Amino acid sequence: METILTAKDLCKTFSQGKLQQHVLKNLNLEIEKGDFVVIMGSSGSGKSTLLYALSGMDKPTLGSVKCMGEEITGYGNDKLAVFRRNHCGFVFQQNYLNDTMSVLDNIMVSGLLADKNRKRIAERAKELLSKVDIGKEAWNKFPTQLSGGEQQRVAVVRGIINSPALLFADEPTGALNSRNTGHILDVLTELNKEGQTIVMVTHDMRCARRGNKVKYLSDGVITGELFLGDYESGDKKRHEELRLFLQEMGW
Amino acid sequence: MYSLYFIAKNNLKKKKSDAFVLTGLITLSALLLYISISTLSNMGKVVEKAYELTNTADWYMLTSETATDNMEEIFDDQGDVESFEKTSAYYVVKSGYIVNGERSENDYTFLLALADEERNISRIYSEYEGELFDDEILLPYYMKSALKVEAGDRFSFEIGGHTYDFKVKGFHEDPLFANPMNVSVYRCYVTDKRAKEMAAEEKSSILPYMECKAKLKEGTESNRFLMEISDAINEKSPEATQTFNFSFIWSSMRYGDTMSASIGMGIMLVFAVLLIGIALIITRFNIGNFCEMNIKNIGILRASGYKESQLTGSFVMEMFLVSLTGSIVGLCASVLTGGFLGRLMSSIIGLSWNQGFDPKSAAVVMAVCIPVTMAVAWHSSRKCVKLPIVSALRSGMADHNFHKNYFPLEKSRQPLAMNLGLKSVFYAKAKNLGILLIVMLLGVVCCIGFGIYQDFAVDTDNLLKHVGMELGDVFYLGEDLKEFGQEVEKCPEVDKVLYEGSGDIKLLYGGKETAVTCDFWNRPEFLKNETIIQGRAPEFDNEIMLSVVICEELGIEVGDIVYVKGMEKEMDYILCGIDQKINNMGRKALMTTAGEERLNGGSTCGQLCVYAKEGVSDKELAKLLNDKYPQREAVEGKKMSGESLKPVILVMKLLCIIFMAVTAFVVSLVVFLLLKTKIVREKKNYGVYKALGFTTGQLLMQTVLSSLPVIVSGALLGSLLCDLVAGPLAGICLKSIGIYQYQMHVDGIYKIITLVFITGTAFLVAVLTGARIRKIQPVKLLAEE
Repeated sequence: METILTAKDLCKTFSQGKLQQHVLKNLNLEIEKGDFVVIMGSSGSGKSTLLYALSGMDKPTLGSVKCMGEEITGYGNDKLAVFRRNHCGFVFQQNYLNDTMSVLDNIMVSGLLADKNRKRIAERAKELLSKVDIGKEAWNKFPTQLSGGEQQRVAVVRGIINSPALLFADEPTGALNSRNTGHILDVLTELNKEGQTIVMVTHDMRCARRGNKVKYLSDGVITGELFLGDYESGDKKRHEELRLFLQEMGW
Repeated sequence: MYSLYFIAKNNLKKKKSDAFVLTGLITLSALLLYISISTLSNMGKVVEKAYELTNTADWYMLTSETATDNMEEIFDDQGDVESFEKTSAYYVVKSGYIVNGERSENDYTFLLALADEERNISRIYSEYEGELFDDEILLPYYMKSALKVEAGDRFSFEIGGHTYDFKVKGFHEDPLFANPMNVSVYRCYVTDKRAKEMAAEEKSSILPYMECKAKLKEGTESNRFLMEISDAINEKSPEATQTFNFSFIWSSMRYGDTMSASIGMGIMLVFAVLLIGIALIITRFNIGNFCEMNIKNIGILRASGYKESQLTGSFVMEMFLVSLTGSIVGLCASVLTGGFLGRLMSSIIGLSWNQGFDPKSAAVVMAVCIPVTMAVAWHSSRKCVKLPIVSALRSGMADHNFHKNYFPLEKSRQPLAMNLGLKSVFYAKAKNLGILLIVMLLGVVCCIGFGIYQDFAVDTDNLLKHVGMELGDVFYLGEDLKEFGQEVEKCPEVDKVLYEGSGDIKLLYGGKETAVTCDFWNRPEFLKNETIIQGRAPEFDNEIMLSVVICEELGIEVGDIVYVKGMEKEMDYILCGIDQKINNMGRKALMTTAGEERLNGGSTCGQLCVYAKEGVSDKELAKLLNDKYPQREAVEGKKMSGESLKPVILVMKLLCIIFMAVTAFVVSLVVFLLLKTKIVREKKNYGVYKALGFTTGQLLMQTVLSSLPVIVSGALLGSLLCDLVAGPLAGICLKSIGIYQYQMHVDGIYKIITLVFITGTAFLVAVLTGARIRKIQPVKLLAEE
C-alpha cells in the first residue's frame, strides 16, 4: 500500500507565559492510501491538535509532516493554504456553512479554489449532493433552511469537492442526532469504499467502528493501534474487538 | 434607571471601538456645529464692538476736496443727523507695497488718512498708542491678521517708480474699511506732513480727497436718509457726486464686513448638519448590528423579565452616553481650537476676534446632538427588542433567511473574489443603500468644495462676474477722463474704452421708493462682468437696468416704467433688463451715459476701463500706456482685483480643504465600521475559508471588494449628480447675497479627483482594516467551539 502521509517525531507545545503544555510528544504516524483511520482518545489527549497538525492547518513545534511527497512542515501560511486546497478536505463538528450563500454556492466557493471551470465544478457539486441525498430542490436554499443532518452532508460534499487525497473529519457527528449520525457515517463509509482516504477524530464508538484502523492517543503519544479491516454492517465481532481494545487502552 | 445604565455600560464595553468611532463622529459634528453657530451669532457682536469703539460713521462719502465746501450746511439741515465731520485724506490710485523687502504680488488702492487731524467720527482704534512720527504708519488690522505684517516691519509704497518707506507703528481697526471685500481700499494713517510730501511727488497717483462722515440719530431709517441726503447733495453740491467719489451707509457695510465669512460659516453649518445625519445613520447600523450579534442575550434578558421599554431604554441610555461624551469632547475641542478660529476669523473679516466661549451656542449644540441621537437609538432598537423571546433565543433574525441568492457562482462570470464581494453587497442591500447615500452625499459635497474653489478661487474672472466688478484690462481713476479716454482709444493696441460714472438716484415704482447707486456706462453692452438674468443691457437714453434685489423690492418687471429722480429732473425709464451683483449688497442700477445726460443734464466719468486687442497682455498694455501717458497711472485690472478678492479666495480654499478632510474622515469611518463589523461577524467563515485553502490575500481582496463597489458607486453617483445638485444647493446659499442665477461648473478633472480621492481613501482604509484577517487562525476558532 502507498503511504500518503507520514508524521515523524511530531511535537506540539502550547505556551502561556511561563506555563508550557506539551500536547503532542514525539508522535510518529503513517497513513496509507485508502485508509479510514480513526483517532480516539480521552478529552484533552491531543486528538484535534494531531488532526490539525497533519492537515497543515496548524504548525507543529517540532517534527515533520510529509504528505503526498511534500514536506509541509516548513511551509508559510499561504503555501499551506494552497497545499490544503489541493490535497485536503475537511468536515468539522459544526458544519460552518456560510449562511449568506446558497447550498450550491457553499460547495462551489471551495471547489473554485482548485478548478476555475464553473460549469464543471457545478456539475460535480450537484452530482455529489445527489449522492448524499440532498435533492435538487435544496441546492439553491440557504443552509439555515435545511435540517442539521442535511447541513452536515452539505459540509461533507464541500470537503470532497476538490477530490482531496485526504479527508480530515473532526468529530463530524458530534452535533447530530442518532439518525443523522448514521446517515453521515454511511456517506463517509461509502466514500472510503470508493477509495477516499479519511482521517477521523472521534470519541464515539459507533463512529470508530467504521474505520479500518483505530489509533488511540493518550497524553500526546499513540499508545495503541487496532486493525479492523473493511467495515461491514452488522459485524458484531468488529464491535467487540473495538470494545476490548478501548478497554485495554483505559478509555 | 441604574439597571438601564448597567446594561448600556456593558453594551458599550462590548463594542468599544464602535462606540469610540461614533463618539468621534459626534465630536466632529459638535465641533463644526459649534464653530458655525457661535461664529455666525458672534460675528455681528465683533463688528458692533468695533463700531462702538471707533464711533464709526453711519454715512460716509469720499469726494473731491473742492466739492465739500458747503457740506456742513447740507448736514445742518438734516434732522436725522446727530453730528457731521470732514477730514482730509489722500487717495492712492495704485500702489505696490513692500513688506520687509518683499513686494506684494498685486497693486492696490490705499487711502492715507491723517493721524494728526482730530476726529470724533470713525476715530482711530488701535492697541498701539502714542504719537505717530513721519516715518511711521498705522496699517489696517487686516494686513496683520491676513497678510501677516507685524508691528516694527518695514513697509514701503511703490508708486510710479518711487518707494516711500515707513516703519509699521501698529494696526487700526475700522469697520467701514475692515477687509478688501468691503471696500477695495486699504485705509492707513500717516502724518499730514508725510502725506503732503508724497502727494506733491505723485500728483497723478495720489489725489487729495475729503472724507465726509455723519452720525445719525438713533432709529433713523437708513434707506430714507440715503434718499434724502442724495437729493440734498445733488441739489446743493452737485460737484460732490459728479467727480469721482464713493459713499456708503453703515447699515449696508456691516454686512459687507462679514459677508465672505458668513457664506463660509453657513456652508460649514450645512456640512455639520450633514455630518450629524451621517452619525445618525451609523448609529442605526451600530444598533442593528449589535442586536443581530447579541440577539440571544436580548432573548435571555427578556426571558428573565426585562420589559421591551427597559431594553429600548438601555440602547437610548447608551447613545445618550455616547452623544453626551461626543458633544462635550467636541465643545472642549472648540475651546482648544478657539485661538486658531479667532485668528482665522480675524484674517477674513479684518477685525480682532475677541469672542470667548459661547454658552448659548454650546447649549444649542447639546440640544441638537443628544436628543436626535437618542431618538434614532430608540427607533432603531424597537424592532429587535420586539422580537418574540423564543425567536431571539434561537438566534432570531438569522433563523429565518429568505434572502435571494444574488450572483450564484454557477452562473456568474466575475472573478471569484469579486463575485463573493458582490454577494456581500447585495446580501445587505438596505445597509449598503444607506452607505451609498452617505458616500454619494459626500461626493456631492466634495464636488461643491471643488466647484466653489474653481468658481471663486481659481477662476477669478468668474468671481468678478458675480461681484459685478468691471475694471477692464487696464483702468484709470480720476477726473477729466473723457478726453483722455478718446486719446487712449486711438492707440493701436487698444480694442475699446468704456467710460463709467456713478451717482445716487431715487427710484419710484408702484408707490414704493428706494435709493440706489447707479452706474453710467457709455456702452453697457460691452461690459465683461455683467450677468444679465433677464432682458438686455440698456441701449437707449430712456432705458435702465436694475439688479434683481431692487426689482424684488419694488415688484417691478422687465418692460415696466420706473420713475427715476436724479439731480435735476424726474424722468421715466423703461426697465430693459435685470442683472445680479454682489457689491453694494446687490443694490445697483445701470444706464447709458446718454440716459444720465437725460436725467442730470450732463454726464460724469470717474473711471476709464481700457480693453486690449487680442494678443496684447494686460501688463503690456499697462506699460505701454504708462510710457505714453506718464501723467496718469494705468492700473492692471486683474492685479487690483486679486487683492480685493483675497478674503473670498481664502474662505473658499478653506472650505474646500475642510470638505475634503471631513469626507476622508467619514469615508474612512464608514469603511472601517463596515469591514470591522463584517470581520467580527464572519470571523468563523474566514477561519473556515482559511482551513479550506483560501489565502489571506484572497480573503482580503474579497473583503475589500465587499465594500468598494458601494463606495465607488456612491462616489461616482455623487460626482455625476453634482451638476444637478451642487448648483442649486450653492445657489440657495448665494441668493442671500444677490446671486440669483448661479450655474456651478465643476470640471471633469475635479469629478475624477473626487472619485479617486474617495475610492483611494476607502481602498486604503479597507486594506488596513482588512489586515486583521491575517490574524485569524482557523485552529483557534475551531478550538473555541
